[in-house]
Amino acid sequence: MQYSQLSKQYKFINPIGLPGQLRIATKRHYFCKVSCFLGLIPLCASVLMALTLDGNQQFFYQAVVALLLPTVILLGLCQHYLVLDCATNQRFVQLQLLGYCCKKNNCESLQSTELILLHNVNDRSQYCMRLNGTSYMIGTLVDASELVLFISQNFNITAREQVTDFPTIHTLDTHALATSLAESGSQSISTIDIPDSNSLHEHKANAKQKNTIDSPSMFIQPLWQVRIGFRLLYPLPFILLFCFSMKFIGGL
Amino acid sequence: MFFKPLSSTMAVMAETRLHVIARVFFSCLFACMLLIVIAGIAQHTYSEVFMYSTLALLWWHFTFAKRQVTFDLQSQQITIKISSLYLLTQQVIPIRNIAALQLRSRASSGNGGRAYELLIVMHTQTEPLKFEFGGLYQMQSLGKQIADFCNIPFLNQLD
Repeated sequence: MQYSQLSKQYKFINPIGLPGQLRIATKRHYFCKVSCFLGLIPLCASVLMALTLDGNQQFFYQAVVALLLPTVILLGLCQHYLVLDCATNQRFVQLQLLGYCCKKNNCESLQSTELILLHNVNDRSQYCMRLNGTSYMIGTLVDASELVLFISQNFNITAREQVTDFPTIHTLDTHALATSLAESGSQSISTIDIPDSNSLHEHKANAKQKNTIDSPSMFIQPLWQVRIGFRLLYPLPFILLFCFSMKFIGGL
Repeated sequence: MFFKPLSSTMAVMAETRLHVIARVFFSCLFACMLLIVIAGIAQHTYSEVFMYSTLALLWWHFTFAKRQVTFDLQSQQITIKISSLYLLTQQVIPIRNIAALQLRSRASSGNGGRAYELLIVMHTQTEPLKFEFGGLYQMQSLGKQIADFCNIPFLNQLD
């Protein structure tokens, strides 16, 4: 399977280097980008001040711009990737700046890489991929399975999944998954969804055995909601009544 | 709050002694200040009286608001009640429907991820239920204790 054959292209994957190398953005990569974006705010303000003010104040803001500008540019150009390299059979993290690659860090063999297909924590109807300790939000089960299969097959990494029998982690049968994905789109969705629904049926069966059937449609509301904010005000009328009566009595 | 087993089938989340003493101390201090204000309330305008009433409401919730968490293995329920002399909100979670207890770093904690929260992941719904938040070791210890007591899996997969 090629990267271009996937149903979606992902922002966290840099297609440069494929198929031999896969570059996946790390947390530090996003930290650099966010810092660059946040740095633009004081930079713009300083530029504005340097243009409008004069004298010592203008010199001060010119110095600030001179410090901030290279920092923001450097942060914007920094790229920090987790690289899966087929040629050397290694996994490493690398900092890149204007195409120049820095030293390879945390070199390990590809086979020791953790690759898990799992539910998104915030919304279990969505799926994500956990690669080497970092979770990447993907979307539907089909998209997530495709990407996991692509990485597993191209880089010879053992894929695991935490979807069918949550929270137990099982090894993913990539051959069966590849076969099901090779079928037509609608069929593949139903085929891949089977394990998930099976687990729900198993849960229902277990619940029946214990004579404690809890309806799957029973939705437990979050503890804090907007209407609870109004409940906090319930004692206010009584306190107001007390205070105003005290004022009235005191004024007699 | 810490996990406190009362019997083999019942446990609660209890407040630490320091927490209770601090609350009583500041509550008394706040009450004294309010009493001094109320003693001379006749001289204040109506808008000032309204402001003091709002402060008194804050004192009420500071003094009486409490979160009661009960783990009952006999009825197979975790009950979370928030009350302030009257019931504010309540959540009843069937233990059998819990898929796992999951620890994760809070999104609001930024890059460092210094704050962590315990989530209750349910078989029956897609959104997890937030249970408690705090430091890493505190949450790990609490998660293990609850998971052992209720016999549910504890997931400790941190990014």
